[in-house]
Amino acid sequence: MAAQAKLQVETARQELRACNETTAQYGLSLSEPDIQELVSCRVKSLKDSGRVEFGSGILPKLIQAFCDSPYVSQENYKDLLVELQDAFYYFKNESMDRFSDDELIEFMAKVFNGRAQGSVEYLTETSLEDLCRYAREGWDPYDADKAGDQF
Amino acid sequence: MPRLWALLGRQVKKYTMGDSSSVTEETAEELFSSLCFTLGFALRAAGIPCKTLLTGDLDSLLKKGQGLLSTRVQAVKRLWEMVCRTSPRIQNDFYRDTLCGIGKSFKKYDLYFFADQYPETVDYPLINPVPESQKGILYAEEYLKRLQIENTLLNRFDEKKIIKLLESCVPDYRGMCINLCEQPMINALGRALIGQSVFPLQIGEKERLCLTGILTDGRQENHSRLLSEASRRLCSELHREDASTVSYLDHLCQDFLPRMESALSAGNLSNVFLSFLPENIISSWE
Repeated sequence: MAAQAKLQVETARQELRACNETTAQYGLSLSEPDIQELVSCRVKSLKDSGRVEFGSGILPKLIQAFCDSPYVSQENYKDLLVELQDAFYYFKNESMDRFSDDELIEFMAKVFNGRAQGSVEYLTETSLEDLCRYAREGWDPYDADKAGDQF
Repeated sequence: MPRLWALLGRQVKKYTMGDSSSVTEETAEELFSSLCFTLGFALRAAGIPCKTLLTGDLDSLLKKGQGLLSTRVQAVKRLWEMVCRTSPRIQNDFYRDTLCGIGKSFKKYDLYFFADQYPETVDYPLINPVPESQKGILYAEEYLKRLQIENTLLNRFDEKKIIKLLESCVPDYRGMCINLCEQPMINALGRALIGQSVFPLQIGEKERLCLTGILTDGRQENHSRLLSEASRRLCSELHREDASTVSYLDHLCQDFLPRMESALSAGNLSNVFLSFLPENIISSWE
């Protein structure tokens, strides 16, 4: 199992290194210490959220979705990814896995770049909470007040 | 283990249809448990050695296991149909609802992702319950086999006499969660113990006196042997001497022995070997 875990970690690192090629055009890149930290945070985040992940993880998709955001810069890039990763796994649980990875990430990017204006705090404490409550309890898509960001 | 982990990864991907890279630990455990169940089933059913897990193609083995399970589901469905056809015509809500539930379970049973889980609650109690270690469709299969043994035994007796006995046991036997076969078999064992024909089922005061005499004559260690001999006589008289039925009644004897000895110590067998209630009492309930 230890060998398996090592292989998974190395695959994750390689995928993050590969992402740098895409993000370079936006002035974003991850250094080796950044990659190391992100991979470690992924392990912790999965453990904290009680989830199991196969493959290299959700970070490449998060990077793809957020790298062109006007609110992301090289200064906040790594820390932002750590926060978004945590939020992602947490809200996968909160929404009872009702949304696919792509749907959740799309929502997160839309709100982050829109109403949240680059605030992860707004994203997680307002919109994502609302989204997950609606996933659990249902919502009326025609009721703007109740639907919130879904409207 | 790494190979099994990789297989689990592929299974998770199928389960989420590629929509999610992660699942909760509980879901992963359930999927893993199902995988182990199916692989184990494939190994046993096809007589494949366990070491195949170390080097063989696990995806093929999984597929084989799923195929074998699918065939087994059909066989259990046929068994269920037979049990339904041969059920004694004695009304009991729990019996009826349990059989209905098992019938519905064939569509609900997920042999691909949750093969070790049986999707129905089985309420009707058996004399000899199926152990919890039996999983998935194998639980239903074993349950139905045991129910079939009980039904075959019950069908040897006059339905009216069985109903009379059940009414003595529990007035509202139709609505209660009780086993329909147990008391008739206990009474039948009692009659076999005193060398009388088992078919009347009735154990009156005269029969109980004989029973008390036989059981208090010998030492306590002999009670188990006496019950076992009575069980053999019962099987012989019912023309049900197959190993499964003999073993099933042996189990009843083992379970019944402490109750019988307790009643014997108290000097009152009337609460274990029951008499039919008089007609006027039964009609007063209606």
